[in-house]
Amino acid sequence: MTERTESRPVEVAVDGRTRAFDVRTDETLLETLRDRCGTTSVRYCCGIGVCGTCTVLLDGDAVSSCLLLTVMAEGRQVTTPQGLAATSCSAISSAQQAFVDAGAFQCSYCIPGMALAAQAAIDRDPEASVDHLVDELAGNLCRCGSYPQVREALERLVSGPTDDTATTPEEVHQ
Amino acid sequence: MSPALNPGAAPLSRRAVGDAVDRVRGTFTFAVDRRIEGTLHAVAVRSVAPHGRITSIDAADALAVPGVVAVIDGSHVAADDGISPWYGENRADQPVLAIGKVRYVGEPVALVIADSRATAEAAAAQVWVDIEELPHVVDPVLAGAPDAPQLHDEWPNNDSGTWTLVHGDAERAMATAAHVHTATYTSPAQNHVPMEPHSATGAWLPDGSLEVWTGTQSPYVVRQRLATMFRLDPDRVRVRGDSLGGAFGSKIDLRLEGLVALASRAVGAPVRMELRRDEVFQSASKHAATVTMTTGVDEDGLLVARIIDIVWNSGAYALQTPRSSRTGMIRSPGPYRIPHVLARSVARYTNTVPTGPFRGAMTGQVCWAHESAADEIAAELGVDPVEWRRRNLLRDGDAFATGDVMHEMHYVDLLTAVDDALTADAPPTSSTRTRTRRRGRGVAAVLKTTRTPTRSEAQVQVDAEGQVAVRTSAVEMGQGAAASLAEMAARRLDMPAEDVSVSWPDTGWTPFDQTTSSSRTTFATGLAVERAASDLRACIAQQVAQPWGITPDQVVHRDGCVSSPGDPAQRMTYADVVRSSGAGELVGTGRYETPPGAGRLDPETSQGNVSVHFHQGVVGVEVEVDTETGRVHVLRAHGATYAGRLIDAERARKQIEGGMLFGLGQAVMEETLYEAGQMINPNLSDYQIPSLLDVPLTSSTVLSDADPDAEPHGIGESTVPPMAPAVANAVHDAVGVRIRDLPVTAEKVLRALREKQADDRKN
Amino acid sequence: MRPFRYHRPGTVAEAAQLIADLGEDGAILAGGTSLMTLARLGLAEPQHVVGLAGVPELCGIEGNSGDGITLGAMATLRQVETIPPVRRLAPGLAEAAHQVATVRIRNQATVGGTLVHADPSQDLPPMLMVYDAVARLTGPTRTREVPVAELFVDFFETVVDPDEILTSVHLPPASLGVIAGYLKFLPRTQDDYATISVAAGLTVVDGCIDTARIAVAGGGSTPQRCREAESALVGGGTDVAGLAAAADLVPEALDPVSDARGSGDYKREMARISTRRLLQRLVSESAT
Repeated sequence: MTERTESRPVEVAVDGRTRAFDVRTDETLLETLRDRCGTTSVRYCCGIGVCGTCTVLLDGDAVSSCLLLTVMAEGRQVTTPQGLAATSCSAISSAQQAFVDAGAFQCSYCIPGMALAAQAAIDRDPEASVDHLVDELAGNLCRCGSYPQVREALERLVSGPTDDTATTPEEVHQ
Repeated sequence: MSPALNPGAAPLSRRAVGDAVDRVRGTFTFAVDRRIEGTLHAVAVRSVAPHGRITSIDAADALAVPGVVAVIDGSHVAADDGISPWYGENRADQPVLAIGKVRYVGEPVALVIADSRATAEAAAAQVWVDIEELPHVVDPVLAGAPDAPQLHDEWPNNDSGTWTLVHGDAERAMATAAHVHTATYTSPAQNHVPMEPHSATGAWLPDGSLEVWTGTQSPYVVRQRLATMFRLDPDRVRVRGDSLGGAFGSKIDLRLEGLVALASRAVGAPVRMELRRDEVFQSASKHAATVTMTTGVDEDGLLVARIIDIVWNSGAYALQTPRSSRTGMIRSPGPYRIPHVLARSVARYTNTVPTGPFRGAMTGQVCWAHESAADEIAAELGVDPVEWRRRNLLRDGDAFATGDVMHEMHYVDLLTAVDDALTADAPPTSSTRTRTRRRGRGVAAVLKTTRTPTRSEAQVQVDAEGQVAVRTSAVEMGQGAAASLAEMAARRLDMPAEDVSVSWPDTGWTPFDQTTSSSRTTFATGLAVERAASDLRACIAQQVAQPWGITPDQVVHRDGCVSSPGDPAQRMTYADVVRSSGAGELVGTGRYETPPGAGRLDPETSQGNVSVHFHQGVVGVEVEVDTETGRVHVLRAHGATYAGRLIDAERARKQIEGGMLFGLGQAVMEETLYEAGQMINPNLSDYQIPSLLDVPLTSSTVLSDADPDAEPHGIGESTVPPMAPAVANAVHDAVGVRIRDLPVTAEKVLRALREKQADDRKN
Repeated sequence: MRPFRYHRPGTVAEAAQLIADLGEDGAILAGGTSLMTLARLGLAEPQHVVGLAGVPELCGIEGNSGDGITLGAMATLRQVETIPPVRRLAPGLAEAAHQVATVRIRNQATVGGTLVHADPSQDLPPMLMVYDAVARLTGPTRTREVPVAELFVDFFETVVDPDEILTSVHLPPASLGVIAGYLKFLPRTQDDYATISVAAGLTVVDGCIDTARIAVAGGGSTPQRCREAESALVGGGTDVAGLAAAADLVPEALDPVSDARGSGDYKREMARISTRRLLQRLVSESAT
C-alpha cells in the first residue's frame, strides 16, 4: 500500500516576507513555521488549539497555528512573536516590552504567544482595560504559574511605559 | 533560527542574566528546538491494551510507506546481544520497548523510523499489533489482593516498595491519648503538563560512542542508564541537555533517550523523537495515593501519637518508586512534634502510566492527609486551626519522626506571616457575598526533606578575554537556576552577573551533578559554584599578590578587577591577569557533598539523619463557595517559605506564587481518569490546568537568613503541596463540609452540602 | 491526519457541485477548528477537502431591525461577538459568541462550521434557537430552510444532507425584540467547554411574560429547547417563585451524559440553577 502524497504550492507572507512552499495538504502552519522557516517562537504544546503556545497573527488576528492548515493561509499575512517588531525600529513591541519589564516569565515557553496575543488585543483596542486584556488572554496557558506577572505586564501595557521595577515579595531577614 | 548542531559540536553556554528579551520574543531556544542535520524521525507505536501478551507485530504495511526506513520492536531488542533492555533506578523492571507483554495503555511497542515525522506518524498507524488481553488492575488497593492480576513475575503481589517508620511506640501511646481522630484521604493520578513536550535526538558516532541531545532534568542519570543499556563505558556516552519548557519531575531519568539511541543504532543515522501531548500524558504521572491517618492528642491538644498507612499507585513500572515511596512516608507525619509515630507504606504496580516525581514529590499526597487532619482535629477540639498548629509545629531542638533534631525551624513565623496576610482588612475582590456565596479561609503547612545524600560539582573559569563561565550540569527549566548560579559566581568574584555565562549540561564537558530536582540546585549546585568561584578568586589573587608584594588576602576584587589596597597604580582586569599568567584560562573548581552518613536510615525503622535541612512552607487561602453549585473560587493565596540565604527575591516570589498556582490545579481541577484501563482525558481540553481567569490574588513572604555564609534552601516546591489542603480547609470554613478526596470539585462540594443539609434537618 | 486533495471553489454553486461529486470521500473545511481536531483523533480521514475560504458569498454579517440578521456561514464567531449589528440587535448572540473557547478559536471557527459540527455542548446553537434562527441549506438541486431548533439529530449529526452546504443563518426581525442572555456553567477552569449552558429570551409586557424561549446545551445528544418551561413562563408574572417553578421543569427535559465535567444528575441540577439565575437576570434587565 502506498501513501497518498498530496502537496500543493502555497504563498504566505511570514513576518512581512513572502514565502513560497510546496506543502503537504495536511501540514499545519505550526509545522511549516517550525520545520520550514526555523521559527522558534511558535511552539507546540496541546495540538488542539487550547493552550495558545502556537499563537500567530493571521492578518492581525490571533489564531492557533496548530489548528490552521498552511493551505488555508494562502495569500495571507502571518506574524510570529519573533517577527512582531521586525518592521518597526525597536527590537520588541510594546506588549513584549511590558512582559520584559514585569519579568513575566519563568520557563517562558508559553510567553511569546501570550505577549503576541496581548499586542493584538491592544492594537485592536488601544483604550482596552486590564480586565479586557485578561479576558482576551484567557486560555493562553502557563504551567509555571507566571500569571501574576502576566497580569502585571498587562497593567503596564495599559498604563504605558514607566520606570519602576517589578515589585518584590515582602522580605524578612532574621 | 534554531541552532543546527551536529554530533560532536562544541559545548555551549550562554548569558543567563538579561535574557528576558529573547525569552519574550521567543528566540530563546529549548531542547525541542534542537535540530541535527540528516536526522531521521521516530514515532512510537503504543499499546492500546492495558495488559496483555503480544502475539504478533506486522510491520509490512508500514514498511511499504514511502519514506519509512525501519520498524523495530521488542523482539529485535531482545535478540540484540549489545543491548540490556531492562532499566529502572532500583530494579530493572521496565523494557525500553515492550518485550512479550504490555502493561499499560500507551506503552511503546514498536518504533517507526522515517524521513519525516509526518511519515513516521502515518506509518505508525499501519503497524498491526495483536495483543491477547489479560485481566488488568488500575486501583492499587485492589492490586494488593491475592487474586489480583500480576504485572511482573519477578515482583510478587504487585509490590513496588514496602517501608516502615517506627518512632517510639505509637500503638501504646495512642491508647493513652485523650482524643483520637482517624480519617482516610485520597489523591488521584495527575499529570505534570510541562508546556514543552519531551524530545530527544540520538546519534552513534563513527567511534562507536553514543551522543544524545535531550530535554532532561538528570543528564548524569541518563548517561548511566544508557551506558548500562548499551553496555558501554559511561565515558562513551555523551548526554547533552538544553533549557526545558517546564518539567516538574516529568523529565527525570530515562524517557525518550533509550528509544532514540535504539532507533539510531538500527538505522545508522541520528534519530529524533518528539512527543505529542497525548504521549506526554502516557509517559509519566503523579502517584495516586490513599493515606489513612490516626492521630492521638492529649487534653491540651498536643500531639502524642500518629499512625499512618499509605498505599501508592506506582503505575506499571517502578522507576524511583521503591526509593521515593519511602521518602513520602517519612514526610507523612507532617511538620509537627509527635513523640510516637508509626508509618507503613506500600507501593503497588497497576496497569496505569508509570509514575515519577511530581513537583513536591511524594509530599502532596501525604500533606493532603496531615493538613486536612490538622483542621479536623482542631475543629473536634474546638480550637482555632492556626492556634492548634502553632502549638504543635516543629521548633528548633524538637525531634522529627526520624529522630532528627531539628534546626533552622521557622514554621511558627511562616504561619504568623500567612495568618497576618489573610486577616488583613482589605476586601480581596469586588465579588459580593450573598446568601448563596460563602467565604472561608484555610491554611496548611508542609515539610519536605531535601535530597540526601547528594553531590554536585562545578567549575568557574575566566579566559584571556575576561569571559567568565560557570560550568555545571544543572538544568535551566524555568526555575531560574542558570541566573541564580551566575549571580552566585558573580558575587564571589565581585563582578556583574550579566557578564557571566553558564553552561548547557553536557556530560562530555560539564562536571557531575546528581539531578535537577528536589529543589536542590540553588543549594547543592549553588554551593559548588560558590566554592569554585572562591577557588578562582584565590587563584587570581595568587597570580598578582607576589608581583605586587602583598599577600593574596590583601588583594582587592571589584567590578571584575583586582587592585592593591595601597597602590592605585597596581590594578588589573581579570583578563589581564589571565594574559599575564601565560595560561589560556584560569579555572576554579568546587564541589558540594552532604556529610558522610547523612541520609543513612535504619532499614526497619527509618530512623537516622534523613536530610541536611528541611524545606518549610505555609500557604493560606481565602475561597468563596457557591452553595447552589458547589463551585469553589479561590480569591487569594498567600505563600510563605524559608529560603535560608536568599539569592534573588524576584525569582523567589515567582517560585512561591507560581508554586501555589501549580498547586491550585491539583486542588480543584486536575485528575487523570481511567475507564476500562484507558486514560480518557489525555489532552488539555479534558484535563485542565489553571488559566489566567482562575488565578487568585497572590502574595508571598520569604523568610531568609542574612548571614552571607548561611546555606541557601530550595524553595521551588514548598508552596505546592499545601495548596490543596488549604483550599479544602477554607471550603470547610466557608460551608462546613469536608472533602477528603482530591480534587475538590464543585460536584463533590455540592453533594456534601446536600448531605449536610439533610443531616442538619434530621438533628 | 492524512494528506488529501484540497479544493478551493470560488462560488457556492461550485462548492455544492464538488461536494455532490465527491460524495462520502469529501469533507467541507470552514474555519478548520472542528475538522482538524477530528482528523487528528482519526475520527475523520477525508480523501478530499473542500475549503470554503475563497467563497465570498458565504462571508459577512448583515442586519437591521427591519430585515433581521443574516450570518454568512463563513462569518467567524469573533465577528458575531464584535460586529455592531449583532451587538445592537441580538446582544444575547454576541454574549454567547464571546463565551466560546478563546479569542484564537473565535477568530477561526465559523457559524456554519459550529452548526454542522453539531457538538451538543457548543455555545451558539442554543442562543440561535432563542432567536428562532433559520439555517439555509443549498444542495445540487434545491435550497431549503431549516429552523436551528430542528437542525440537530444526534451527537455530531444534523439533518444537513451530505451533498448540501449550510450557506447562512437568518435571525428573523420578529425575534430581535427579546431580552436574551446566556449562562455558561463552568465548574472547573473558566475556559472550559460548558458543563451545561442555558440560553434564554423573554419579552415582558406590563409585568407579564409575553414570550419565552429557553434552550440548553450540554444536556443531551443535541442542544434542545425546553418548551414546557417556556409554556410555564408565558402569561405569568416575573416573580422569583414563578421563574423558579419554570426552571424546575428544565431538568426533566434533559438527558445529559456523565463525564469528566460532571455526572448526569449534577448537570441536570446545574441546568435548573442556571436557568433560574438567568431568568432572574433577564427579568431584572427588562425592568431597566
